[in-house]
Amino acid sequence: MSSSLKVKDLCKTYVMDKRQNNVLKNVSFSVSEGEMVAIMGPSGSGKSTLLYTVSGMDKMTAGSVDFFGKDLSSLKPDELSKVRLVEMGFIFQQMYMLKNLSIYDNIILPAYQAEKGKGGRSRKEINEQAQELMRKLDIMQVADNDINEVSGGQLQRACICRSLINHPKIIFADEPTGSLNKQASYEVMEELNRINREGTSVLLVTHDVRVAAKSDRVVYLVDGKIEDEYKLGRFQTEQDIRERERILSSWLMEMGW
Amino acid sequence: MFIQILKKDLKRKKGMNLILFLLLIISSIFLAGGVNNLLLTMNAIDYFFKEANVSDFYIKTKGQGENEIRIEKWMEEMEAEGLIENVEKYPYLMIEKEDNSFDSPLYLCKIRKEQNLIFDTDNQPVDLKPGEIAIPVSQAEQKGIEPGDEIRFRAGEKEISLQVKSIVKDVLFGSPFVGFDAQYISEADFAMVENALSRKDGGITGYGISSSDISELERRFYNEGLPVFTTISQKELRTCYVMDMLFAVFLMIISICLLVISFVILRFSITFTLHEEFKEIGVMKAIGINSLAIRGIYLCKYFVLSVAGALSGAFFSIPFSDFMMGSIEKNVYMPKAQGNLWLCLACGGIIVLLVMLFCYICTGKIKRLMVIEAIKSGSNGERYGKSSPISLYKSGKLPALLFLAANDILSSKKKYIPLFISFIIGIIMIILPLNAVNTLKSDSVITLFGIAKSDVYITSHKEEAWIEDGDMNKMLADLEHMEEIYAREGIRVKLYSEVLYFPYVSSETNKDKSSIMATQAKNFDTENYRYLDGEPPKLSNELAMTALSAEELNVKMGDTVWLQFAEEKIPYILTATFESFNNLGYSIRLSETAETDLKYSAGFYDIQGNFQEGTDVEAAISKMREITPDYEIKNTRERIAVSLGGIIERLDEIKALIVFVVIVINSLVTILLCRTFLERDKGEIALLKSIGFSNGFLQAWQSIRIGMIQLISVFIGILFSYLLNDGMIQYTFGIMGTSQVELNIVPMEVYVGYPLLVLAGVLAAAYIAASGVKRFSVQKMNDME
Ligand SMILES: Nc1ncnc2c1ncn2[C@@H]1O[C@H](COP(=O)(O)OP(=O)(O)OP(=O)(O)O)[C@@H](O)[C@H]1O
Ligand SMILES: [Mg+2]
Repeated sequence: MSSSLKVKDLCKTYVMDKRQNNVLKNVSFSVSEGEMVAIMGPSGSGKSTLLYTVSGMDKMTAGSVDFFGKDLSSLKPDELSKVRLVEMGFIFQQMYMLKNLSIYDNIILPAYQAEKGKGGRSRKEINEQAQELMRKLDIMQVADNDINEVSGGQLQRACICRSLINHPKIIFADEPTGSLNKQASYEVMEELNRINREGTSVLLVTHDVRVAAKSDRVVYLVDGKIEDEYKLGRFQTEQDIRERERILSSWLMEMGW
Repeated sequence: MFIQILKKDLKRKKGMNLILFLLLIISSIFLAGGVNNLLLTMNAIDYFFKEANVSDFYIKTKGQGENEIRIEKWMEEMEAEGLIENVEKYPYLMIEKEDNSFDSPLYLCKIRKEQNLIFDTDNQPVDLKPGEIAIPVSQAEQKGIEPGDEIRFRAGEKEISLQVKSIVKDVLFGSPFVGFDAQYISEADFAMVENALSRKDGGITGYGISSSDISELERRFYNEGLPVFTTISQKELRTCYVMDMLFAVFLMIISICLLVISFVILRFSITFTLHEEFKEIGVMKAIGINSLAIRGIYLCKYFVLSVAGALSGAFFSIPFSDFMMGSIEKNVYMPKAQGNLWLCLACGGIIVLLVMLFCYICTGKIKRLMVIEAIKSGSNGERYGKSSPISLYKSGKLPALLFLAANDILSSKKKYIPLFISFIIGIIMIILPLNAVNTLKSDSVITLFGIAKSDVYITSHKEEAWIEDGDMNKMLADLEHMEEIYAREGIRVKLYSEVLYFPYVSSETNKDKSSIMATQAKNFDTENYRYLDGEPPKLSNELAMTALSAEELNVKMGDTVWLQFAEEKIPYILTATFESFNNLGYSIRLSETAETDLKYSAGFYDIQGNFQEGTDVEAAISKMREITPDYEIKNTRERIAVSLGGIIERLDEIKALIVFVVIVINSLVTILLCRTFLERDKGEIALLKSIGFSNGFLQAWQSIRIGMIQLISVFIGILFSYLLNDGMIQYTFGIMGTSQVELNIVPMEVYVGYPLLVLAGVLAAAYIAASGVKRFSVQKMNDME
């Protein structure tokens, strides 16, 4: 399988008041096409920073990120934006949306903005796709609501819709279930798994063993370095989940989690 | 702990606090500057007249010697009767145009010591050494003279060269409307030139007179028929300052606008920043700090900020005020803004008080604020209403960028109110004065001088002789002769002349003594003038007067009015009212057939002429110049330029100043509010940025929003101006004595050109301010509620 994201010797240093904080230290890993990788690790170990840096939101200090053959560090800011807009999808812990737009408008906004460049997708097609996505994620009934008029789970599913609207090649998710209850978490993971099965790579940060257990591989980050990784293999059926969780937990225990 | 929270707040929220601080400075500059300008301009002319100690009546004799003796004898009599209190004598030495480098006759005189004082550009008394000369502002502007220039002339056998030391504010000759000039030289030079001039009668003498009963003195003076060149009363002199009054009114309007803008900004910034704090207030409440203490913290913070802001603002308002006053101050002596330090401080104090008041009211909510509410829904504890009145989904082909911008404005209109108000006021501030300025620059402004608009204006040098002879028929014969000369060359022009009188006027109900200027056009039908009401006077005992005069005399159409030119009171019937700038709006128009005596006339306007219909005016005028080369012949533009000279340039200056001030103010307000919005929207900006919207998009989004507001404001502003035009401008002109001016509106310039210029300025400012989006990184997302 060819890799969609190849990270090599990635370093990230924050400078605050002349004090250097090396958050990421020579991190190397890759995500294959269609793979779902979970990043775990203690709080403050640099998980979010890693996600933001490899997705080009934040500048890397050293190293390289290869995204489907493109060297992200060589792209100009506008080109990088373009890549993020049309080739990457993002889901955050807090369900960020523009508060002056309805749920539906929030979802189609990135597609409307991308339409010019992508060549060909009409607004009608975008709308058809948005409606299909929303039906799949079961939020069609709140399409016209304001963002404060829906539940947390619905809002996060809307964010997933938004991240999918431009058919991204990879989805970055930073604790997508972090602020959701058990049932809502479950539903969101269902969706991510389904998207993943349809061919989109997923790189997610999580604290939740049950979430991580559904991914193909778990990378364990400690103090800005990859301590180790564990290959779980493809998650197939719900029956396996207990077993995968158990294996993962014991591995994590070893890691000192 | 109190102090610590405060210190931390000031440090951590540097951005927002800085913006608030700047807004406070701006509003206190506007407030202090506005109030200062308002006070200064309201009494500008009065102040100037008082400081310069303007004489009640000024007389300029024809020549010296004989005439001088006659006039001085009359003044002694008046002094004995108690009508004259004090006389100051000013001899002038005239140097003919051909003998000097000034390009018009020089009237050299010594610096006046008691009345009609002159001041230099710094409002200091003028002191001249031998070899120096001082020139009034209006002449300097007209001739483009600057300090350091040289003026050469010949007096008798002597060649003399003087250096221009200063350009002076001269109450007597400062206005081009006065119609005569003077230049100042040192006593020593004066004596030297006087000796050198062989012809003693080349001189002229002026008298500044202070009187206890000016209208009685005037009447007696005109009755006496003394050999004078010109006279001017304080009241008449005042009318010569219409332009400066107009500038003052412009500044007043601008100042009031500034006041409004400053209050709007102030209120906005307080409520906005406080709402930003609500989340924190909730947290503080949650950890158990009581409401009173929290309120104390904020009141304290805003007190510190507002004192600092208001003080700096008050300080900066001084140069700001000086800058604004610059244009009017050129010609008029006004107190410097520095003198008003206390006023600035008082305005600063008002700002602090207002801030504390707004703050007190806003923080009043703290007690009622539920902890949960504040923390959960963030901002102000209110649920957002149905926030999107339009939807992207239904936006058709509209680009996402424009949609977002429009949607922002529509879903939080309230937040943009300060911008709307500032922008609308800005547009009105441009349109109204510009319409007034354009009106003043148009041909119809000729009526300002009490002259009816005509095709051609002639000065023939015959006018003096007419008054001297006092023979009306001679004048009419001369005019006819001139017409014949032109007719022989194929130019059919009808010439006429308006004669001025200052009769004593009374009515049945108003027997107070007062003289009003009366004009009589010879060879010119009274029907040619515009009237407000009634029928043009035709019979010899009919007259028209301005509505203002009629009001003062308390007469209606058909009532009788008595005019007294000499000893005898002559009854006239009022048949019409009209309007005029002239004489602050007080004047009378006699019918062509009214029996008048040139002996009592106070002077003439130009000889005016109208061509036969269908004549090419410019061609005819140049031909007339060939026929009579020694006459001065002008078209309307040129005639206005003679009287207005530098003022036309100053009008352009005023126009530029207004546009400049509006653009600067709007841009400042834009930059500050734009930064505020940036601060408010930082979460959303970071979000859009992280999901792949480019900096360019975000910057455009933030600034187009402002552009849209400006655009809407332009439309509203134009609408308002359209409604206010008549009222405001007529009010302005009303101050000068007339209220029915035909406005000269240049729509492309005023309604399209300048608004576009302002729009461009604001857009540029917004775009620059919005470049701040580049700094935002994904971490800022956490600031999103
Ligand atoms: N903008 C920033 N400037 C300076 N230091 C930062 C910045 N963002 C993060 N850090 C530092 O980088 C380190 C890693 O932060 P990061 O947010 O990546 O941790 P994390 O693993 O995601 O933690 P958590 O599990 O709590 O979300 C922390 O020590 C943090 O203080
Ligand atoms: Mg994190």
